[in-house]
Amino acid sequence: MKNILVCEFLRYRKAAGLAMIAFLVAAIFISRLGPFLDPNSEPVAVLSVALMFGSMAFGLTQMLLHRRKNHWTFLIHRPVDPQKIYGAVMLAGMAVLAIAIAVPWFLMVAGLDLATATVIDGRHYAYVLHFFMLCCAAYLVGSLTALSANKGSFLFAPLILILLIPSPQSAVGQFLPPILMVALLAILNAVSFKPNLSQHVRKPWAIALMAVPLSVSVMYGLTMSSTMTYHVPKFIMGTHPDNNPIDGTFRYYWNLDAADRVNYALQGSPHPRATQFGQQAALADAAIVSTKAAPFPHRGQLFIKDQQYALSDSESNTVWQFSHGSMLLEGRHAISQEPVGAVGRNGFLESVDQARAEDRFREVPIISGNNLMVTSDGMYFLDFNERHLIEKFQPATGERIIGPPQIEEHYVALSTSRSLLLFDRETFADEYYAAEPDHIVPHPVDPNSVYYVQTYRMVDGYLVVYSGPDLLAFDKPGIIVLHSKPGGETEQVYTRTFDTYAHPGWIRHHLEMAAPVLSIVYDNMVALIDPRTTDGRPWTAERMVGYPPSLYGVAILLHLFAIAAVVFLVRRQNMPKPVATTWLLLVAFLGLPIVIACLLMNPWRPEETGPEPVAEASAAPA
Amino acid sequence: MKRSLIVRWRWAAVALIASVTSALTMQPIQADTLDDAIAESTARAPSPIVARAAMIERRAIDSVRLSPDGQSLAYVIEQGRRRALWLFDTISQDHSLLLTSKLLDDIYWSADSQYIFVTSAQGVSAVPVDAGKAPGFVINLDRDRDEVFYRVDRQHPHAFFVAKQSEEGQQSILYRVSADGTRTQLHKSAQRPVNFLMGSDGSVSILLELHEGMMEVLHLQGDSSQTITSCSGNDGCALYGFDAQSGTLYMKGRFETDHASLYALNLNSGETSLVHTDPSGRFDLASVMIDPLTAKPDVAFYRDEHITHGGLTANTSDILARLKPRLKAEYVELEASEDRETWLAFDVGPGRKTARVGIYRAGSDDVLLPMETAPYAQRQAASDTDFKPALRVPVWYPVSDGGQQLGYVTLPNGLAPREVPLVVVPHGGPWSRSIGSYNSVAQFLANRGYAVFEPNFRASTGFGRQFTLSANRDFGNGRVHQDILDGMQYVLSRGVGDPGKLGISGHSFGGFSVLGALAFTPDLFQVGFAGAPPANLVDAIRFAKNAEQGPEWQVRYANFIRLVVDPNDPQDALRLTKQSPAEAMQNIKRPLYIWAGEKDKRVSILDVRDYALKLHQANKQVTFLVEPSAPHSPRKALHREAYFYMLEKALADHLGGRMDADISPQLARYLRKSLVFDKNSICGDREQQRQCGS
Repeated sequence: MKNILVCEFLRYRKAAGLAMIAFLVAAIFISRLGPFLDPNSEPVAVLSVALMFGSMAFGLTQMLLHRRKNHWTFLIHRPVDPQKIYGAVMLAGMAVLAIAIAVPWFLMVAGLDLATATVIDGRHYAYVLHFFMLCCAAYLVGSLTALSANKGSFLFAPLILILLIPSPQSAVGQFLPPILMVALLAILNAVSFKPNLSQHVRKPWAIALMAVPLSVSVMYGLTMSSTMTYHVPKFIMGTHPDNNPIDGTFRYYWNLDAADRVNYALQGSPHPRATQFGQQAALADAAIVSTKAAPFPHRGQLFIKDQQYALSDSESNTVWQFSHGSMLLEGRHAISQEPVGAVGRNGFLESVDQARAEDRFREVPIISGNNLMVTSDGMYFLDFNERHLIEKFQPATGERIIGPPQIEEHYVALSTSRSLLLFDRETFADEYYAAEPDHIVPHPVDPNSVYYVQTYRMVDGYLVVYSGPDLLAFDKPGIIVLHSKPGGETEQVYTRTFDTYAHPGWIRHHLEMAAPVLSIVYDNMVALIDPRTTDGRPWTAERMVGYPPSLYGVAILLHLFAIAAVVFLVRRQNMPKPVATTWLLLVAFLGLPIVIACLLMNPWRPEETGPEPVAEASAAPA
Repeated sequence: MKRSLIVRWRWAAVALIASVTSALTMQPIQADTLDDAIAESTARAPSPIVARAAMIERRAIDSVRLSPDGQSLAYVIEQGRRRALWLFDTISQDHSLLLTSKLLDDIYWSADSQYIFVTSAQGVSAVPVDAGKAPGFVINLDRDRDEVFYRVDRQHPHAFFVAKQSEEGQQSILYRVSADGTRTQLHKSAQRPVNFLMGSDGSVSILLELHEGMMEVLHLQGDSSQTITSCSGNDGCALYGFDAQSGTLYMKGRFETDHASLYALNLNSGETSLVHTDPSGRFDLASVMIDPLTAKPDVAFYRDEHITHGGLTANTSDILARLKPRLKAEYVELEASEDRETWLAFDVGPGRKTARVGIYRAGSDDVLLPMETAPYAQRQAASDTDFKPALRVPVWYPVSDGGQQLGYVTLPNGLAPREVPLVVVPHGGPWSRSIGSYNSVAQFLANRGYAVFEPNFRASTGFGRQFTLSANRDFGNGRVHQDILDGMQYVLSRGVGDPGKLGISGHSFGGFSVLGALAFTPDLFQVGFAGAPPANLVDAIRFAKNAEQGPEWQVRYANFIRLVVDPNDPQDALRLTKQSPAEAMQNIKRPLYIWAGEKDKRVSILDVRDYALKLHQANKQVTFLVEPSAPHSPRKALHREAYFYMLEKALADHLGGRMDADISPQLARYLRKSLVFDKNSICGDREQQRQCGS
């Protein structure tokens, strides 16, 4: 095994060395264009994507080269367990990736850490490991595609992207999913590595390990199926609701001009000013803001999750970067790279070493614009020249800021856990005084259920219109019109509900209908990894969701159809009982996506079940 | 070098002659109350130092307006970033809040007294007086496109006039707009009319339009128009009323005379007759009230040493005569109900920061003081507790070429005027004037222990055309500057101010005068403070021409060409440049403090910065503060405070006056940030480092 590993590695050592040099050259070039560890750096993003595709291509190529007739026989017909042979080949491949990707990336981070004053935390090093694991996963997807008879092996690739989406709050949440993914793919590759590569896996546990992740990819494929079955035909017929909004639906409201929306929202309102509000909206300046919670960065998160790289001050020519290690904003001169001090919760410090425990931020702030820092319990303005920190705003006790400030033409909006705050723009930008909001509009509903808030500047305050397709509850679209008067009083003018929908229930919820268990499990998993995101839905929230009753009927029918289809396939394939039972259990739990997985993971013609593979039979030492 | 010596000697000689002339004419050339004021102010107890922020605080109350039916009074109170519109019922004497808004600049009553129209940056809103109805926008106006509100339509129950640009932006359309937003197009022209008057049929009859730098008064009849008369920019033409029945137009104009007066132009006969002019023959007509029932003028106002008004009918003369003693006010501004039964008077005496407001009903013996019970009164009373305004008196003084000019002297309480430093404060413009009402800058300086002199030099307005024209394009090192010096010498000769402690401060054109004073008479003043100063009027006019727009500016530009310099004429431009302060900056010896706003549309920040940098390079003692967000003047409270801090610090350091030692951390930080350079060390020396907190 060791020999195979060494031979395989030596085979690619030059390529690995060249790739490493190419990476370093590219990375150094990129670092001359801008900060290399800038999460928003486009060149770094392009480089990362190229490396992941390169890893996948390497895995595919490596195995395709081995699959050549004589080469395959040469490789597999050895007195070694095929899994061990694969293990050696895989480790050699990963060693190549480590040299080509992990080592140069580590060198870049370490170089920046040692040679510059750029803030390098443990999370920057951790990202090297994380990214290396993603590349390994991509590599394994490539090799699986070459080795497995499964026609949908490449569908594991989108799952790697899914690993990048959540922003977990713990190291376990950060690293466990890629570790599991690499382990899963390694196992599946090992299982697929056998003398007869055209033969599908037959071990029940292997089938389950391959089918379940495949179903997740299939599930997303199903979401797109509505495009072909519903949207495209509707567009062709000219009856699509997006082009022909149906009066009485939320979609209709959404399609109206800003000036007409208030009139529509207030239809049927008994409020004495309903008509006047509608007329006033036509003359008012309108703006749209969001009340949804924007996930605040958490300590130790991967640097690519940062919203902004640093604050830079052109006057003093300094760059200020938040350190997750010291929990301070650390400054350096942009040219000399000399440290120029730090900023803590209580103001500027001469150096990081001077910071006391009470100076350190308790949570990682969002840094924004040129001089703004926002945490859930305060908003700070920084005057780098004067080295002065002003607490611009602090929410009331028990209230949290849930998103960064949104700057509009006439105001700056800030969403808190309780209210939407509107600050005078000039006062907000004032560098010398704390800001008090002109308007405090209590959220009439959970701010995360709001699609958007539209404001209309009236002569006597603001008309604030909350709306969303899930505003009043899940799948309960609504509009709530509020009138916020100068001085603090807010009046709820009207709530409009919608009973009709632009799209039928089977389109709105077709994912939940087609793959109910997977959809719920996936939502829970996302919510578990990152509880702050609104993309997932924990079980507690899931239980409150009320789908249209007809949807349950259709879902049951689809589920029964899926079971029937798998039964048909099992019988047609004449599968062994354990395999058939596995598929039936899978379809019983996961429904329709398993039908697709079953189709992909089995021959489309009945397969002759011959004797066990020769290599496995002759694997015993001679 | 040689030339500068000659100039210096020339001015020294002029100053000497002026001093001798003044000394010889110690007696007032026209009776004034300066000697009495000197005696009175000396006898007064010295004023305690009033906090800077309190001294410069804006008036709490603004825009007090009487309803046409005389039943109600609307007024606006500042409430931080918002403004509140209040209503006072003259019958029940109750105050009620109508609206609190950030979109509230000014207010106007509708003709039926049922609405108050509110103008703002957004446009015009209507606020119904009926508490059951809600306020709302009526029309949006884009000031950047020269869309403006004119006034309320008195012929319509609740409508007003605006000018809006046509869709394609080629024409200005005059509309009557009702409170419900209904628009009626009245007139369309390539350029927005300066003003207009309506005929009895509700159409535009008289139009004041700009044409090639001149204002033309047109009589519109159907599709045809006839030019009635035309005026230049400095004629101060204004339309007041049109009596359609008799075909008589009442307007302000000069009509070949020196002073602007009220004239009646009979459009049928073509006759022009003088209706009213200043009885003293010295001042221009300021404004006129037109009786809406008769369409005839009934009161004429003049800004003389203070303000006077003449009743043009027996009824109004009688009422005016009864009103002032009952209000116990000498100087008042007036409004009246449509039936002239109810009068609203503002006591605008020089000692009143906020005008006292009285409501007088014809035939009554009493005056109602509505603001005594207004919600803001307590706050205002609290802020006024420690503040006793200084005496401010008008003074006529001779100038070295034989003329007479009017200025104002403000004397600090409880100090010997002869021993206190004197600060000269020339006004901006130059087509403007200092008036006799309360002046916050003068009061601020007097509170700090300075005597203040505000001259109305040649080119000032309100004293007749000849006075304005007599500047004879001689700005900079010329006649206008000499007028300022002559006035100052006269005031010194009357025993006001220590000749060894002279300072000069001014804003805009006043700042130009400051730069001139320090450059042309470098030994005379100990210190100068210039706000938004152009150092060369040629550059300032060129810059403003590109930055400003609208017919009003065009009139002003035509005036600049006629009365100051034609920037397109190289010879003329060279002439004025040579006598500008910028050319003589090397002569400056004394400390100079300059304030500038980076968003200034009248005086280019680049020009001011260039001038200040050159002084800095030349190692002159200059302090330069730039406010990045300010236009021509500081707007925000902190910026205003910094402006006045710099002024009082400049004067205290070099003239020895008092100053408010308290400096907030915000102000200290602001100063450190905004000072571009500070050779006068308002924040830099050891002592002041502590004060500015660095």
